[in-house]
Amino acid sequence: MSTSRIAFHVTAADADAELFLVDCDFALVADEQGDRGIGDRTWLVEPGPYKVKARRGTAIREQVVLVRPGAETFAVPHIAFASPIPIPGTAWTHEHHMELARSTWAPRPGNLWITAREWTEAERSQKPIAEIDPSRGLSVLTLDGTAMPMEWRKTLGWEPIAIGMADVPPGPYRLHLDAPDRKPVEMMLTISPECSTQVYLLTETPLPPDKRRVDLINGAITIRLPGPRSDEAWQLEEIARQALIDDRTKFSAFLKPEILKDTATPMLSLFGAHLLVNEARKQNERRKTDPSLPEIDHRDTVARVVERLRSQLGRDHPDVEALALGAGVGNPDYRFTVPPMLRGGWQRVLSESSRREDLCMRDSFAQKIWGQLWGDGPWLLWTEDALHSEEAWTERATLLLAQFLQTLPPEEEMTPTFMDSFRNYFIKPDLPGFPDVAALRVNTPAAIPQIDKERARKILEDPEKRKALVKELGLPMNTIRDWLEKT
Amino acid sequence: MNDDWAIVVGIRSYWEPSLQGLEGPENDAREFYDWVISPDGGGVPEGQAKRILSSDFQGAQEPTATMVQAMFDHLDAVDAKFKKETRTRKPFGRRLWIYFSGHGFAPDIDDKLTALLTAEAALGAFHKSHVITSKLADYCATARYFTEVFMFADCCRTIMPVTQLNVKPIGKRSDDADEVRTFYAYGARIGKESREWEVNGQYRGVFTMTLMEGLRGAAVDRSEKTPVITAESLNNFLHNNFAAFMVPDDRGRAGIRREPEVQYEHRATKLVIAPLPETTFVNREGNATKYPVRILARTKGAEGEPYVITRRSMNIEGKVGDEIIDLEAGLYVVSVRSLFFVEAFEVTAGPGVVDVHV
Repeated sequence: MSTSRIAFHVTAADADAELFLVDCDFALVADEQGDRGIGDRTWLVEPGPYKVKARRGTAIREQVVLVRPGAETFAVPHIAFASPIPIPGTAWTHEHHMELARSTWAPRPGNLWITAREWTEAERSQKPIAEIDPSRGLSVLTLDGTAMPMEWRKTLGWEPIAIGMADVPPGPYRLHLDAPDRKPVEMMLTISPECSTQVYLLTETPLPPDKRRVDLINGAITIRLPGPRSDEAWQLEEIARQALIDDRTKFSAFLKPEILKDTATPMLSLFGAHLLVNEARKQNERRKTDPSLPEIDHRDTVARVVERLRSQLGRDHPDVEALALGAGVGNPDYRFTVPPMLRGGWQRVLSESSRREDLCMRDSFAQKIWGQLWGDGPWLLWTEDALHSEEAWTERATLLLAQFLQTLPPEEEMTPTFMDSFRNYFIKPDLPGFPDVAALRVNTPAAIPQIDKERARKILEDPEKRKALVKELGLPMNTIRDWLEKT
Repeated sequence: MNDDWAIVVGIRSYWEPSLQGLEGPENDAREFYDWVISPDGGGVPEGQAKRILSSDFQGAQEPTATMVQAMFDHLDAVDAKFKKETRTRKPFGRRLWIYFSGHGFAPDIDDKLTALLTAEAALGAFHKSHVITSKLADYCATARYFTEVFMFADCCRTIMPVTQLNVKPIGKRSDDADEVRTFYAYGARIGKESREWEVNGQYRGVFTMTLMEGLRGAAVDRSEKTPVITAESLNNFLHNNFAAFMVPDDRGRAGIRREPEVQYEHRATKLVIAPLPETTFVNREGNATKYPVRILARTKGAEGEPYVITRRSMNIEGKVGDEIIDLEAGLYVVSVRSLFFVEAFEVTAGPGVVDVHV
C-alpha cells in the first residue's frame, strides 16, 4: 500500500501560516508529526481529493485539490490577517494609516506611543461624515491616578486616526479607558528605560458612533529597542499574539527558534515564551490521563529568553519576572508590587503565590486588582472600580471560599465498605427525575455558608489544594489567607 | 444509555419587546430534544431529559434564569442521593447533554463566555436574566457528576456590557475532574450574531441545522470499524459544513466566520457520541444524509459525455447534464475521460444543489 502513497508538499507564501490537510471524509490528516504544519509541510497520503486549509491569525483560506502523480505540490497564496497595527500586507488597514504610522516612527528610550484608529470596509465615499475621535476616553495614569500629559496628532473624518506620544519616566503606568454605559477599564503599561513602548488600538466598530471606543482586549502592544522599523518583526509579533489569544500552543514549534534569536523583539519573546509555557502545562495536564504522551519541557528555552529580556528590559519588569516563574528561574527576592501586562503572567504569579505567599507585596497595587479582572485575551485588564470596591467583592469571595472548603468531603466518609460495593453491584439507586419547571417560581438567594476555619487551615496545608484554590478564586494566596483569618 | 441525562432549553419569547423576533430557538430545541431521547439518537430516558421552551409558560417572563439554573441544581440533589446510597465517589451518570437556543451575548467582563438570555431579560439589566452556558457545563464536569459532558449553544455572541455574571457558584470539586471529557460547540463566534433563516417553512438556526445533520449520521466517522459518530468526526463535520448552512449572502461577507467554535480535547481514545442510526432519520430532502449534486457542462461539447465520480472505493457513473445525483458530504473526484478532465470537488451538507462544472 505504501508504494502508492504520494509525498504531498504544501508551501505557504507566509512562513507563519498554519497548514492543515483535510481528507475526503473531512478528517484532518495526521501522522507522527501531528496534524498541521507551519509555513510548509509534507504529508504522505494516498492519491485522491483533499482540502488544503491555511490559517493566519483569524483569516482562513481553503482550496480543494486532487493529489495524484504530477500534482504533488500546492502553493498557498499570501493571506492578509487583521491587526490593529497598520502593517503593510495585513487586512484592516489603508494606506493613509500606514503612511502616518511610518512618518511618525521615531522610537526612543522611555517613549510611550499610542495609536487609536478606526477601520471600515466601506469606501471613503460611502462613509457618513462623523467626527469621531478614536482616542476618546483614553488616558495614561500613574499608579496614584495622576494623568500623564500626551501630545496627540489626530486626523479625523473618514477612518480617523489619533497618535499620542509622551516621554515618560520608566516605571509602571495605568492605561485607562472611560466608556459610556460601563465602568472604566484599565491595564498595565510598564515602560522600560531603554525601550519605546507602543500601543495600537482599533475602535469597536459595531457600536454606534457615540458609544464607540477603542477595544483594549484585542489591542496590540510592542516594546522596541531603538532601531529601524521592521514590518516583518511586527507581523511575527501579531501572529504570536493571536496564537496566544487562541491558545494555539502547537505554534510554539515555529516560534521557538524565532524567540531564541538575538534579534527577537521583547514582546515577541514574551508572547512566544508564554506559548511554550502553556504548551508544556497543557501536555502535563494531558499526561495525567494519557501517560504515553511525551513530556514537553521548555524551561531551558524560556530561561534563556528570560535572561535576554532581563538585559533588555531590566531586572524588575513584572512580565519578565512572571515569565521567569514559569521557567523555574524566578528571582527569589522579587516581589510583585504591580501586575504584569500579560494575563498569562498574572496566572503564573497567582499559581506561584500558593507556594510563596509573600510573592505579591501586601497592600500593593498588584494586590488591589483582584476581584474585578475584566475581559479576556492576552492582556490583564481590570475595571477601575475594583480599586475602590473590595467590599463589593467580599460577599462573592466569601461564598466561593466557603463552598470550596465545604464541598471537599472528608475522605473517610466516602470510602465504600465491602457490603457497599456488593450492594452497588446489584442495586442501582432510584434517582429522581427533573422537577416541574413551573413549580420553581420562588427566587430565594443562596445563603452564604459558614466557614469552618479549623478545617480550612488544615485543607490549606495541602499544596495542591492551595493551588486549586488560588486558581479558582483568582486571588494571590496571601490575600486569601489574610481574608480567611479576618472572617 | 440509562445513565444519560439531558437539559434542553429553547427561548423564543422575551418580555423585552426589542428581543422579540427570533423564530428558530423552539424549533431547534424541539428537534434536539427529539433526537436526544430517541433510541436511534442520544437514547436518554425521557424521565432524565428536561425540555424547557418559552411556549410552555403562560407569562412572557418565563422561563427565568432561576428556573433554568434549578435544573442544574437538581443534579446536585441527584448526586447527593447517589453518593449517600452508594457511598462511592463515582459519577452518577455517564453523559450529560446540554442544549441552549435563544438570544445570547458574550459578556464584556469575560468575552470568551456565551450567555443565554432568559425570558425575563430586559435591555440594560441583563445581570440576573441570563445563564452562562459553559459555566453550567463546567459545573457538572468539575463535580464529576458525569464522565462526559456535551454542550451545544446556538446563541448570538455579540459583546455586551454587563456588570455582573449570573454564575452558579462552584459546586463539588472532584479530584478526578480532569478525567471528565467535555465537548462544547457554539453557533456563533465571539462578537458575531448567530444566524437563523427559513428553511422549508420553518425558521431554523444555522448551527443547529448543521449539528442535527451531523448527529443524524452525516458526521459518521469512517475510520472506525463500526460506523459511529465520534467527537472528532462531529467536529470535522461542523467545521466543514457550517458554511453550507449559512444564509447565502452571509457566506461571502467579510467578518462573518464560516466555522462554528468547538472546544474539546483530543485524547488517545476517541469519544464516541452515538452509533450510526440504522433507521428513520432523513434530511430535509428525504435522502438519508445525502445531498444533491449536478455535474454540469462548462465547455461546449461536454453535455452528455459520460463521467465517473470516485471517492475511496466508491464509483458512480453518469452523463454530464442536469440530472441530480445524491452524495454524502465529503470530497470527491469527477473525471470525464473524453475531455481529459479530472478534478476534485466538495459536497457539503447544506441546503441547495452542489453544481460541479466540467
